Amino acid sequence: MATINSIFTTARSGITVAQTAASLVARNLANQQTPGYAREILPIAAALGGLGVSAGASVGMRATLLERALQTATGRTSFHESQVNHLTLAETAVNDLDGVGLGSDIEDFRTAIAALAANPSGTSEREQMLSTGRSLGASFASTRSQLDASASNVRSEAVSVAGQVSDLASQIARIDQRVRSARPGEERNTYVTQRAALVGTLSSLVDVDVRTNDDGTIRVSTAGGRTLVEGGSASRMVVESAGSPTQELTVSFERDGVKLAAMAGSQVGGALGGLIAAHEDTLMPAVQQLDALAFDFVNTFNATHAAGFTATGAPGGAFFATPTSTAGAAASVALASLLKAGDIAGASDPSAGVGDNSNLLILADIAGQGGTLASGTSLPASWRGISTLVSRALVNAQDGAEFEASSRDQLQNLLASETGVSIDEEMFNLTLAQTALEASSKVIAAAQQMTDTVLSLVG
Amino acid sequence: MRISQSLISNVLRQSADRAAQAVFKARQPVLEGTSLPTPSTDMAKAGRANLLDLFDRELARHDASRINLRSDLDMTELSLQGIGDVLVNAQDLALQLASDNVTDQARRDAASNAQGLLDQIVDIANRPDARGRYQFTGLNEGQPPLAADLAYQGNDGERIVEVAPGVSVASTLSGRDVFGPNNELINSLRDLVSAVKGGDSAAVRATLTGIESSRVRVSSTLQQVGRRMSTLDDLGDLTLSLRTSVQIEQGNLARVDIAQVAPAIQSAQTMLEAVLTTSQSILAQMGKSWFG
Repeated sequence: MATINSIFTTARSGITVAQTAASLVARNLANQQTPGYAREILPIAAALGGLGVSAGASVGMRATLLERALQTATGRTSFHESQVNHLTLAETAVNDLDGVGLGSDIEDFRTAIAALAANPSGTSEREQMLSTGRSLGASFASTRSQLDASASNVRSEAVSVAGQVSDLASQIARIDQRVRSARPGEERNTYVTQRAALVGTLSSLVDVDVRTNDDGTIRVSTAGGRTLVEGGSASRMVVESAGSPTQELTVSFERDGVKLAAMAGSQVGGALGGLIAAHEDTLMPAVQQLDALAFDFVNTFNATHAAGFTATGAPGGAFFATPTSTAGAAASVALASLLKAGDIAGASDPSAGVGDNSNLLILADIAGQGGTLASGTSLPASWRGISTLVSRALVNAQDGAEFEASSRDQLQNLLASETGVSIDEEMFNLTLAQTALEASSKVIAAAQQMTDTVLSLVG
Repeated sequence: MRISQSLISNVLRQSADRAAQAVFKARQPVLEGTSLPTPSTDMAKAGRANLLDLFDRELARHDASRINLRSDLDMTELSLQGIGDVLVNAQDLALQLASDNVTDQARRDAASNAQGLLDQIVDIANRPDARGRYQFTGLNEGQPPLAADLAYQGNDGERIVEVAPGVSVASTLSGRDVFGPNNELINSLRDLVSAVKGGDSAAVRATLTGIESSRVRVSSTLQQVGRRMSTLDDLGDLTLSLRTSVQIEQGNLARVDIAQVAPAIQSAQTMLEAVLTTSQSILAQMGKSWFG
């Protein structure tokens, strides 16, 4: 049989739980837009001995599977988005649509050679060939320099993103230690929310796999299997660059001062993976192909020019300065030193006369669609190949970003639906708590009345 | 699906972002002034535009070559006509002086006329063009075709010039086509001068064959030049029509069609306004339901 005291105990527990529930509603409402926050619920159960109710520690309604899927989608979206900006800049360097670019300069050079072929003794035509040859060299150098600048920006950003990854990993590790020692309920949930927000940011920078341990801490590893955070300590991610557009970026990890083996950049994922992909798959090959093209073209052109004869019957020499190696060849395309208009070897036969244009026709062919370089393709076709490489990578990145962003948005919405705060629900919970509070108050009032009645009877 | 406030704000933000992007995308061609600002906008169109640009430049180069060559041929034609006229005069003179009715003295008096005709031909043949090049020299166009002793000093080389896509023509003329394989034209006029100076009617008569065959050769060369000019004119018509087609297609590829863009902009703007109005309405209703 319940005593008056037990009635008070029951009512008091009801008031306490109602107050806790009301404060939880307040916290949910206050945090509805907090990144990483998942609505919390209050587990309520009958108190031991059947006297009233008791509330457990509030529980964050996290959807682990959805969070993991969102992290993956965020990583994939960032992978493409990080490439878009850099490749857009690179595309302007290899784009001839505005009538300015290496493609236009190649055609101008070919036009000048053809004009000279039509009038081999023309002084202005000779000067024009030299002038367009000079412009072609400058255009090769400028295109390489712009691609190099894009690659350099990508490298700097990759190094900076790796630094952000290390900072985030170390913040996550610090919070993880607190999660382990925090009291269940609000304190732990607060740390878990902060950690979720940081993991969300981290997942946009690199692909991560997050596993929750029994003690509430997490193990964060990269897609390549390297551990970033575990047991409250973090690894440092380092991106090293040789500072050259033709050398790969290396990604390595350091843990407790020990350097771990480097991993392939292609496995990193996220914004960093996108930057590495833009560097290794597009910008680096574009620069290498441009160098190879410049080297191939200059050597082929020079060989033909040297086989010809000038208007005075003298043997031809090099038209362009001969590059020493393929690496950096595009940066150094320039007319041969001291080359003058009279040194142009337009004739194939030293005794044919000043009107002989047969070598010029071959030279014009080398610079045109019909010419075949050592690589087996023509100069304009090779150039179009480089241009297409960059544009296609950009289109893939744009399409990928659009597609992945749509998946990411859907997952964000699903997660927001599962774990987000609903004001309607919270209003209902608040009303429920108020009603419980009122009911408990009424029980206390009734018990008070009973006590008074009993005391008056006794008295 | 559970409706949370984060879900509502996510959906509103995503819709507004998408609508704003659609407006930007629809307006971009108008702002850029082209519907094809970069290859990534439309790879196939950009590839086509680049090829058309190259083709247009190639046609422009051919136009320039053709115009120059046409101008050279005009001069050649004039020169050949001049030489032909001189040969006709020489033929007339020879016919007159070959007559037995003309006295030997009269023939000797006409020697300066005959020499004048030879000089005229040398003058026409050795005249350089505006660019300092000599005609009728093959490839040896840096010096006049006829040396001081009137020997031919050109060669038979031909300079090939591309004047249309895949069409190349010889832009030079060998002096042998004008003066004959063994300089017969000059030799026949020289013979005429000698015969006239010597007052020898039979010798004058003997030069008529050489002069006539030279005239026929020059006439035939003139026809050859005419055919070249006619070919160039035909090619000019063809490339003009090609260039026009290229330019029309270039315009179609990059042109901003306001009639097409305007409805797209309008539709994107309407969508954006609808999203914003809906967002306001949803937020207002939520506020009402919570706070009365």
